[in-house]
Amino acid sequence: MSEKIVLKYADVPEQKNIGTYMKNGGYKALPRALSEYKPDEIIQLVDKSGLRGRGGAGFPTGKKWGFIPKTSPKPKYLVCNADEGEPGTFKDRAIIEGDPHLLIEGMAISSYAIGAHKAYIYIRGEFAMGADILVSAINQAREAGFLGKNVLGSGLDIDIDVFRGAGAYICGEETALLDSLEGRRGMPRLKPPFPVVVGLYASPTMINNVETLANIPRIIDNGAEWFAGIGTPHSTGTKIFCISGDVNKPGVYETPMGISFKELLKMADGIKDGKKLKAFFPGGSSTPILTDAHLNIEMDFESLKKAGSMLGSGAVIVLNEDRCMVKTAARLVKFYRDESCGKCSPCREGTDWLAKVYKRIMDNKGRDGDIDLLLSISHDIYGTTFCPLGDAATMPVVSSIKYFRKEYEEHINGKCNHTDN
Amino acid sequence: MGNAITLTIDGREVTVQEGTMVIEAAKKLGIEIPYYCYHPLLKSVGCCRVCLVEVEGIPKLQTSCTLEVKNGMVVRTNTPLVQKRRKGVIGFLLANHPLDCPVCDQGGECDLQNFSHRYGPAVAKFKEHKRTFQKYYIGPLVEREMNRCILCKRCVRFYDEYGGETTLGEFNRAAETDIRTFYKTEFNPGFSGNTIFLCPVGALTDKVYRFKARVWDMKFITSVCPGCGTGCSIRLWSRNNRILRITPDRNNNCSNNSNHGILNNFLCDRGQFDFEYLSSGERVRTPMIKQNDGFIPVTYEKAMDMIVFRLKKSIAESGPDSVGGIISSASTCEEIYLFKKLFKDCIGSPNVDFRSRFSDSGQVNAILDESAEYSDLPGSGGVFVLGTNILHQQPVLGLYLRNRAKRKGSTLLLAEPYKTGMEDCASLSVCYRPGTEAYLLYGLILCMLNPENREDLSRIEGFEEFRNSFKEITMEAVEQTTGVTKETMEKVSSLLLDKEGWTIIIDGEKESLLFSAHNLGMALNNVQKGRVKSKVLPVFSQPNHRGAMKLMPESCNARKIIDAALSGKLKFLYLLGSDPVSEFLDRKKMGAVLKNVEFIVAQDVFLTEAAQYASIVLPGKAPHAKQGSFICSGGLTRELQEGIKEGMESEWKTITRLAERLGYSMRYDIIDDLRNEMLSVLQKKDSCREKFLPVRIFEKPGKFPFVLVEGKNMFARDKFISRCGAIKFFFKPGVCISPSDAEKSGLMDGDAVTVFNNLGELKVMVSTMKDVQPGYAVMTDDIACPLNILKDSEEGFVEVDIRKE
Repeated sequence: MSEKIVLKYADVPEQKNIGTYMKNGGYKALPRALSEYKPDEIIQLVDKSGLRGRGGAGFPTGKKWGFIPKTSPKPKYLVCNADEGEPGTFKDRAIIEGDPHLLIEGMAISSYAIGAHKAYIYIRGEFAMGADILVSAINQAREAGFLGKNVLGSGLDIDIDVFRGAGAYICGEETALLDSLEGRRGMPRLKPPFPVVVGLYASPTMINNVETLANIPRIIDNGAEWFAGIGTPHSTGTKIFCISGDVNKPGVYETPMGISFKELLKMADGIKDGKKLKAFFPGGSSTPILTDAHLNIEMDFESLKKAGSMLGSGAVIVLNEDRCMVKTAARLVKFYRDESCGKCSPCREGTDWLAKVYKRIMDNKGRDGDIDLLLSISHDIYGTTFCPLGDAATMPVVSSIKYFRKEYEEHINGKCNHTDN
Repeated sequence: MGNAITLTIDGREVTVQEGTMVIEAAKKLGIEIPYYCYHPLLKSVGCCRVCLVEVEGIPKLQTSCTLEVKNGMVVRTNTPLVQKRRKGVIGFLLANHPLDCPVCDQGGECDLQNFSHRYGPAVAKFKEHKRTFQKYYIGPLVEREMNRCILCKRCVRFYDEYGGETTLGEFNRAAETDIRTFYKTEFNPGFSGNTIFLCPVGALTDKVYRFKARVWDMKFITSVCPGCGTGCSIRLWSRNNRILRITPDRNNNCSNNSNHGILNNFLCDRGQFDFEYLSSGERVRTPMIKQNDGFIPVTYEKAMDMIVFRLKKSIAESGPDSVGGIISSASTCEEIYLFKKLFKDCIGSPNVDFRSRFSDSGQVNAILDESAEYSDLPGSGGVFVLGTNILHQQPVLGLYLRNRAKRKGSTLLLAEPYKTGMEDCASLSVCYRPGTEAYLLYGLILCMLNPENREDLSRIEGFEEFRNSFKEITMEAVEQTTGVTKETMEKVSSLLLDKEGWTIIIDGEKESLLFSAHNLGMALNNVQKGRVKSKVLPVFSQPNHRGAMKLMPESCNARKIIDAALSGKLKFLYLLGSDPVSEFLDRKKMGAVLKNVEFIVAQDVFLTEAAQYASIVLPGKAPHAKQGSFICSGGLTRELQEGIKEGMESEWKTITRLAERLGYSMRYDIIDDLRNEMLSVLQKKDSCREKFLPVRIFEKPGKFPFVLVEGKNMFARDKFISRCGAIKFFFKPGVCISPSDAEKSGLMDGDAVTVFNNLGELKVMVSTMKDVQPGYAVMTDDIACPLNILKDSEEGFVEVDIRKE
């Protein structure tokens, strides 16, 4: 039923060795790209495939590549965002650990397309194994001539370095990532100028997610039409979903875009212990909660947007009927409060305030009016912050109150009877 | 610059320059947008989120401090949504703020108070525990109260954009973000006081002013800082006739057009905290006459009677030439003008001067008339700082130059005998052997005249003479003398030729340097033939040096007065603000000189060392408490105002009274009458013909192993700083030598040593610095370490030896 693109060989033992990777059709796209396509043609091809960024925002990748200034005298950089920090997300890790060469090949092709000679993989600090795997895979690729000086006799130099982050969630935000990569304290930069124009070392920089880049070799291999034929018209290709929470088989599932949530749940073998579905985060903790009323929703960019949520990073967190929504929101707010970088006032002060109110409610010291207070704080944060982290922090608050206001009231009145408390 | 952009803000059209931020455009219309993190002198960061506005066509609210204007942009600053969100953000800032306004020194001038009052929420919804931070000591000037901080980071950004060192940083994250010095050390003094005024709330407050007054109980008057030659505008804040603090004279919109962004923006810690001497118990407050070995107070009338009697007696018995006067270049133009008039016109004596150093003042004056002004700086192609520690000699000018180079990317070229801390922002910095500036500049001129670019400078008057100043004129000789390689010199000269209209900044108190710099400028202008001329900008430690030079062009040189005193020809000496013992060369000799004069009148703020030899001491008004004007090193006339009223007579009044008593009419009711007369004299310009000037070349005598290099430190103590408690301990006198010399002499950092030569000796501590070249000893003049003990020539090499105690 499911057609895998990115994770097709990720389960193959020793796929991380270049020999196995090549046996499974690897490193065919790179020579083809270098010999058959001009850089602009690759950008057009990716544009035609309809590939959209898999990091969360879903911006069309080909279009983004087109923004790289062609005439800049400065060097251009490609940065792979592997800082997978969104709670509930573990798809990039599956690619990095399962099929690192796919990412490397994708990055080499992308570097060629945008004219970069140096690429960086900014990997989450905790992914120590992933970083090791990438480093040895890069070394293998370099030895085989797929990276380094004069790649495959094309006269082009393309090289990749692995940089390990230091644990801040904000460094998944692309400009904070660049600050961190430059050796500074990771804090979002002012936009504009956008990183495509003034990015790493004030040079044009393309920042793409791991999953996005891993799709590139497949598009070269099979063509844009083939890719565009998968999924829905506006959300092409497949998506890797990370299903976690109260399901029988949590894990990584790659399916074409547009699969219904119900199907996805079936793939994960349903809710644990025969319980009922209560709610789910469709794309990581930063996306508004949906409920059992959205069981048939199609998991793609448009449908989820219409339902008032987002596809995000594809991290589906499933909650069963026993889960207390106030506790869930409180836990997430605490996360955002701790991970706020401290740069802008609404996020720094607002998340702290939210967390303090939640803490009070959880300590059975809730007051009348706390729900309105939470909503009013969230409204003051939303849209006023420097970067999307502040907005994200309000998502679980506003959406949980929207669907489960009664639970908040029960909590404040000291009557919560959810078993997970 | 940029094109004109027209946009609409709140229904009104405004036209501004391209690149302007919306917040500034709104200001132009008189529309107030609240802000905290934004500051006109710092780069925009957009982190406080209070200046949000609505822009047509952009769905989200935008921060107006980071939003560049565009043609046809429609901005609304006061819609219900903007008001609501602004309220929300100010509410966030107030949430954890302690609201301890009754005991906060910022109260009354606090942006958090003001904007909360105008735009903030009416009801505080925050009912949780407020977070608190640990307090720690960051030095005697600034108090840090992190609980009040709203994290606008202006202080951090000030150090990033202006300061040389990374002093402050953000620590921790999220709501625990903390602004601290690294390793919780003390704030480096120098420019730390500026953070007090940049801080929009009471997180960084003035420790000297702490709890002294509420801002609304004080009044201020705008004056000029007498600390150095820069001439910064200051506000003197006083209450009950006591100065309590000094702030930069920055008006609300911070427009830095009037003084090219130099004089109104920042202060150095010296200028900001050097007012405590005003209330010192050691002030001379009444006239005093010498009796036995002490002084006893007398009335002005009695003192004046005595002075007039002795003055008349000296003139009658030994002629007007037996009378002389030395004034200080820290005196106002009006005082200098009248002082000269008193001696030249009223008494008829040529013995009047302020300088202890210059010999050929005619040329110097001509150079000064042609030299750069601050207004030349913004348009200059590059700045060449030559042989002066600008951050200490004229700190705020140094700060301006550093920011110009760092933030605006303009060219800064440094040539210095030892590292001064400006290197990080310089395009190129060169280290030469101290005292070889003339050779270095000659070498640069030689490089400019390379074969393919040959320009015959010898057609210009004075070039031959200039060239003949040097014994050896080959490049090799220059290399050997200066210690700078030919390649480096070529790099410097090609950088010099690359840009047009250089401002060459040099220590204006050194005559030979002034000539050398003038010659370099001449050579540049003749080789480049550009539209913008290169000019020399002399810098001075004294606030009115440029004015004094202008007012006393035909110098007799104070040294001639001293010689007359030594030979016994001088019978009457009037010292106005001048202290030859601590300022003139050869301290030991100076004591003997003054003893030789029958009658000395010393008028000063304190009983200086020279005043000890006086028969009569007159009180002087403090520079922070008198009217008058200075001509700053940038050529601008700067007006001093009385920060407080002091009881003593103004110096200019004393001079007029003296002249009247001698039967010479000097009638000025108010200082303005005098100023107008003086200004007409100042209008006169000496025309400087285009010519090279010969320079003096000095030889090392080779008697002692170390050559003394004079350092600069803004906190080095003079009669004022030594009486300002907050800043008097920042400078520690000492001698600084290279590590290799220290090893050779068996010296370690902190050893007590005696620095001596044939003239005298000084006991100081030794320190080592690898930037000091072997064979040189860097010392800074200070009240506890007066270098004139060791010196008998101003510009030649002074040699010393060091002996361990």
